[in-house]
Amino acid sequence: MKLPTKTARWPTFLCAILLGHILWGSIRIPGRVYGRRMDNIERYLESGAPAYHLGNNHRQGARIIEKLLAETSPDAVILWRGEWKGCVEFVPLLIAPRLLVEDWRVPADARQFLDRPIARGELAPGLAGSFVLIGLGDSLDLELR
Amino acid sequence: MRPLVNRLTTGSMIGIAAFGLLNYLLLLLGFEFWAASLPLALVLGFALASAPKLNPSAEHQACPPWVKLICLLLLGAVLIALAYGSGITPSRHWDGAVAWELKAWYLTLEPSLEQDFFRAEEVFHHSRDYPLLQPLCLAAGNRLLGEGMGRFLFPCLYLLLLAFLGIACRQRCQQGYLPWLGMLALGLTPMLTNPVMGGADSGFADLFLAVGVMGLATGVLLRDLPLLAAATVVTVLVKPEGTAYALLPLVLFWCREDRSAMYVSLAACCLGLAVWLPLQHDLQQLGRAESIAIPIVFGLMAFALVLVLGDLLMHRLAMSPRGRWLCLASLGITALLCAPVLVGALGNESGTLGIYLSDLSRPLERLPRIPLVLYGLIERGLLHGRFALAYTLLAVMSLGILLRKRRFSSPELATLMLLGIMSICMPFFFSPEADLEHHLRASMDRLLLHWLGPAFLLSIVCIDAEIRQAGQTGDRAPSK
Repeated sequence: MKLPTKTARWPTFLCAILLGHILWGSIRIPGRVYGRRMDNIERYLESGAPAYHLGNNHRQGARIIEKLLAETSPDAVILWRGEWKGCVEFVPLLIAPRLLVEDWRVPADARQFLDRPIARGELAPGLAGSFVLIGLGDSLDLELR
Repeated sequence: MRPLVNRLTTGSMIGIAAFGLLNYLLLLLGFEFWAASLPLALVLGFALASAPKLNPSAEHQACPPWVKLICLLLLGAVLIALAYGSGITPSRHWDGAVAWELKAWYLTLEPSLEQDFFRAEEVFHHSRDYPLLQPLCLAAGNRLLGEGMGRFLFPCLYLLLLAFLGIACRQRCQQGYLPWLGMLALGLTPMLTNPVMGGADSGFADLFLAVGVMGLATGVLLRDLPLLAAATVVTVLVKPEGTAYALLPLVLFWCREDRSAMYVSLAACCLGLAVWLPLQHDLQQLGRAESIAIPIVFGLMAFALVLVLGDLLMHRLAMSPRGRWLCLASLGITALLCAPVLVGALGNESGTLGIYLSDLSRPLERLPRIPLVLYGLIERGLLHGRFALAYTLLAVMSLGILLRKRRFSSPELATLMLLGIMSICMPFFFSPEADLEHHLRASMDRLLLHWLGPAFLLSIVCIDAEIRQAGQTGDRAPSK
């Protein structure tokens, strides 16, 4: 490989790459930097955090989170079991200040844990109990205990 | 005196380091963190950064005003988008939401680790033993300025990243337009500006770490020891990878026998680790185990003593830099062999350190992965588009220098960059993640982002040197 030496061609070539990079970055400003960012922001503001994070093609479970938010007190603990990777990772942020606690660590008959009430509610009329969130990787489920 | 921008950037780094050290210490002692210490530390940083600078600036030509105007307009447009994206919603991306922002949320609510989210083993807590500098800064901003205001940290970090490149290039470059073009190029890199995981407003801690690494590179290039010390502390306190990065200038100065820089780097590393490792242990053990601060301090003193005595011995033996590299490499391998014992002593078998360092047969078994990791590095860095032509420029420029058997205009920075590139390959050998393809896809972009600033810094400094050399040989240099 023969490179131009002792001439200005080499630094000019390097400057051309630098300018190419700047051009590449500049042409993305309208579409990516603004367009896609604004789309994301709009979707977040319209749908809310649960639907934004857990209501898309990759992750499902927003309705369950919305149900928990609507039916449980903010100081509650919510039990969970299953796959921790995936949807469950988002749950602590979405349910805060409620805490997510592993199901097996809480005695079966307990109504309180860490001096907080354990989240309870109904899945169907007459079907009540402590909620247990089930992590299924790319989705969530809700059961009663 | 340092120019104003120089003072602001270096002062910010010193302030953030002081804020981190103070609040890590407060949390370690069981106190609440002190939000008001952030502005106070920044003021202290600006005051300390007012000390006379060490190196005279290179004689540089003025930058044409129209170049400055274009740069300011484009960077301003990006900054507005990033500031809006940061402030209008909480984090919209994975790690930002599940790890960093959640910690900040709880620290905003109650400025202490003595709460169930941090202390109850039964509570789901993602990355429980991760460093807290970013959550602390976010929480301090939220507590002082109001809910959500802490997220304006991200555009500030973006500006700081650009400013470091600008001040370093201004000090070292003769061509007045190069610092501006360098800042513009860095600021427009898609990985920083796109609304993606790791982007500047994504809430990930990678931007913060990139600023720390940029501080290291600037400190090394300008031999600015206060900046180097502050950046070393910040790098240790912001992300787990930061510890490995913070050791690199120390390695560099030890091998180059630059004593004063080595001592500063060593002291800053030890200071950062002396607060971070006990806090990591505290987070991992939920505040229940006895503190390991004193053993850690003794361990760090032993580490410092080995390096200082080793340096004196090498000096006495008149060892060449190559001999020093070999000695340090063998010392590093020995330290690595002791790593499982160290991890056990830290009680971090199931923590971040433990999952990487507890099984040393893993990296040996994965040696055949080297070509795949290198391919991943090239693919993500050069071909994938997230970094546009940033790493292409670095690669072409480095190849040009090597093929023509020339020297880098800043061999220290070039060596730091090489060590940095090597260090970002390491997780793929040590991580428990067995699926290499997935690991490369999930991590390589963010690891490359950490070294994006130094990559541009090295490229710009070398381009300037090439232009100067071409000018000296009587040829026409571009844009003169």
